[in-house]
Amino acid sequence: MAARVGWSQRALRDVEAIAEYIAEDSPVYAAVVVRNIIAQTKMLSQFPRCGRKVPEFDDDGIRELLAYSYRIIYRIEEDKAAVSAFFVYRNNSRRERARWVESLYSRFFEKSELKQVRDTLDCESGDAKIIALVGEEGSAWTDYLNFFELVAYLHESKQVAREDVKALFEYYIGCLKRHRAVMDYIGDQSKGFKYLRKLLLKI
Amino acid sequence: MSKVKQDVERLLNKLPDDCSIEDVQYHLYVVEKARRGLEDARANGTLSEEEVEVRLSKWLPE
Repeated sequence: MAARVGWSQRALRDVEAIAEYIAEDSPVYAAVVVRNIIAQTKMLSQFPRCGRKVPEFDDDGIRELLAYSYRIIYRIEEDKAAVSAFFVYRNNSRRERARWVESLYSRFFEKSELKQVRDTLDCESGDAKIIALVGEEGSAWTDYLNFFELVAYLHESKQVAREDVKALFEYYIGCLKRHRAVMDYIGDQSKGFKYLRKLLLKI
Repeated sequence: MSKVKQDVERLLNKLPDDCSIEDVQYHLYVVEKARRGLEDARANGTLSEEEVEVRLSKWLPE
């Protein structure tokens, strides 16, 4: 189910102030930034938990995305699956982005159900285990592919650079590409991995 | 200890030993700004994506 995305009035005023400030020098760049912010928050309806936890808070429900020099901070509200976003300037974009990518990497290696699939895929092509894994379509398998669909979406929306995806996940993307049954599954449009299909062509 | 003092203490413990005064100020600013945003959303409700896009359309040329 898609989550509803709600903006606080304060968040909207923040973005208007940001746009106004940038537009003084470049209306074109202001439009680029506003479009990116809107695109990031739209992503939340599909992947409400895709942001990393905000390090300043000890709360799993307060998360953030990055849009150029701005941190989009939002809260996941369980009952409504809604988020309210607000924006703060980040003081060291390179360091923040590095932390963000690191959190993605940690998530991949901390989840035990992903480990199980990761280990299964790390075998020679043609192995019977792969046919079973794909054929059964268990939740661990779909969670695994959804993780890479998220990575692919983050890359598509310029949250994560191609170099970062390559540095972090090239080996595991290679494990996906190694197996014909896996590639056929991802290639099936009815399965819904459209961003992952594009990513696999690039890496 | 008050909630504010607890939050500040936790924040300081997370920062590296060689952090600057500016680092501390920045992270406190983030905490305060996020907290105000949350309160605003809770007290005054939120706008839908469609409403937001209409309001921001002036920055988005056709």
